[in-house]
Amino acid sequence: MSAAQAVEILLVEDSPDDAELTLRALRLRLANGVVHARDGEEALRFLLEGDSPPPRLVLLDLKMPKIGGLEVLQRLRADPRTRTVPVVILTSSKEEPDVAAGYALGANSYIVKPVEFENFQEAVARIGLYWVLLNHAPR
Amino acid sequence: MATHPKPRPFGAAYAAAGLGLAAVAYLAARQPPLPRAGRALATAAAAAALLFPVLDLRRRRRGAEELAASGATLAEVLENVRAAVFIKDAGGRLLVVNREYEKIFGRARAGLLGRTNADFMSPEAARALMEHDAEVLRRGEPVELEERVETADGPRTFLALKFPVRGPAGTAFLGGVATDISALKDREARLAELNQELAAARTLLQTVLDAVPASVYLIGLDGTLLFLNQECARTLGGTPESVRGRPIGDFFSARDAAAVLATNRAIHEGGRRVEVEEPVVSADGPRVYLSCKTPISLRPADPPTLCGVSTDITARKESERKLADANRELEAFTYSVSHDLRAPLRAIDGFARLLVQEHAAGLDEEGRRMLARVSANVERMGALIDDLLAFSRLGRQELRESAVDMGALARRAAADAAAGEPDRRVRLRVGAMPAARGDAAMLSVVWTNLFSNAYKYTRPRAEAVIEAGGDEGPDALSYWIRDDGVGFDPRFAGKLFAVFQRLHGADEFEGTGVGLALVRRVVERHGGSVEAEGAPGRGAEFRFRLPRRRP
Repeated sequence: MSAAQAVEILLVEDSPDDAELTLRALRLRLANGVVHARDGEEALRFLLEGDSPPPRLVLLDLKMPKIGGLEVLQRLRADPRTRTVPVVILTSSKEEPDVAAGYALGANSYIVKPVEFENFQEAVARIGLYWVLLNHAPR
Repeated sequence: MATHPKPRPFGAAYAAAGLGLAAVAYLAARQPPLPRAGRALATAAAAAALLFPVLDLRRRRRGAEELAASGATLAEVLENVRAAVFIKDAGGRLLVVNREYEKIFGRARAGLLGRTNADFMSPEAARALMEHDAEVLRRGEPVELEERVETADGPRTFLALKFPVRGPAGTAFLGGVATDISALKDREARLAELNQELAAARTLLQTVLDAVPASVYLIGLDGTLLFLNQECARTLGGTPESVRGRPIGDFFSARDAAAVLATNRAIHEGGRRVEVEEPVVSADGPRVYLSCKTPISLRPADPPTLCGVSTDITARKESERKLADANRELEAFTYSVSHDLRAPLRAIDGFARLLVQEHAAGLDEEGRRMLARVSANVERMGALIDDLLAFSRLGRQELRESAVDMGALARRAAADAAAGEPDRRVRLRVGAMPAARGDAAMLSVVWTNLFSNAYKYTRPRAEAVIEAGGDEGPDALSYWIRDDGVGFDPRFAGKLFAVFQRLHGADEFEGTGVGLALVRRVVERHGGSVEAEGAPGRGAEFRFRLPRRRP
């Protein structure tokens, strides 16, 4: 993980397979600036303890060892530095309680990972384009 | 209840006897031709009356005329009194009787005097009376006793005061005053009967209440147990006798008792029957009771009370808790299935496609075909997982009941199915159907699956016919859908509705085998039933019934 250049997207994902597929899909359209945190703990360390400016987007998986996605989200929203960072939950869970909890804690969007790769690729690429290129968030 | 007359004070007996004697003296003087013995008795009686201390005549020392006048007045009273007054000689022959005596036996004085009871009664009845007479004479003092007498109106019961009278020559006579107490005796008997009935009713009530496997009790607002059945006493660790009249604080912890009292007061103020769950530590240990309590007032003046029926629902609560635990586990299982099974699938599909995208040059046609098969299977497994999750979710979801326009749901499902196969020629008829009460989202799953099946299995037809409709019965609403598709072998009709059971291969008709299982689950959760009819090549008809529900 390197903060040498401006980070546009922080991908928080424990599954190496999903991470690689997501990173590939993102890099298809967006050049660089994607950082991968392998679990919630690593994500929090990067977001709250480093001195780099917050990313333009956090792509957050829910079910992760140690610190889960919902807890990461809660901690981000509780911290003034990351209170307004756009967070998109990208998860396998279609369960209604997860969706409700995600929005209640201040997620900006909730996307269920499509199983078919082509759909998945398309979804991830669109998320990246929308939040990094189209969306205007407070800095 | 006491039904026996209390013994009268002895003084009163003497007074009555004195009164009787005075009368006897007068009556004797007026009797038609009296035997000599009678006249002697009259004189004796007058003398005895004079001497009788209760009447206090001696102290007044009146003249003979005065005495006669006073006796005449008293005699008049006795002649008219509603009691039989009589004097017999030692042989039981009547020497003196009053008017009531005549009336009682329906005989004129002439037919009574000089005769014994045996002359106008059955031998047994007469003997009983004469035995009493002999006993009085033997004891030499007044005796009060109940006697059965055969009167002109039939057998009656009398309260008789009999007393010995001794003539100046020492001859023994027997005087008596007898009052008909038959009405009183009847009332006593009736009262005894009523008491018996009352006791029987109480016993019945208690027996029924004791047979109830729940605590039944009356409790005052202060917590006093006024009435309780066997089960109630048992749960309190006592007997009905040992518990009655005691406050519940004697049996429950201070906290439990205070909670019960507070609940009772609230129910009393509400004035209506209320059902509450009450966790308390009883003689059986920590229990939960479902208590139905009704404020009652037997009489307006009574302090307010509650009638309670408490059923031990500890076991039910325990199974509810276990069920909730099991549901939570199922929820967790569903969650991990949804998450954990999907992730590896995505990886399989993803890397298979990346292989095609990025290493196409290194793959020949066969290699690409195989990778396409991998992707097709991933897609199928994804669908299976989604359906399985939907199926499990349907079992757990609460029914959100409302009025449901079944016709609209059916038409929408038909339109969706048609939109999925725009090139098909299908003659679709959705007829009128009754509105239902139920969960609209769930019932829409039913129609979606039924129409999607109908479209799927009519695919070989150049022009298919699909019809749906509904009927309204007295107890149930029924809905049907039929098609002229490939149908099915009726021997396997039972398998149609089981999860993952299919009657066609995936190469013939795609599907996961969950659709009809979903249909059945939804219908059954609405308390209904579903059945299928069909024959190979001759189409299929599905019919489901929903019980009528009131909002």
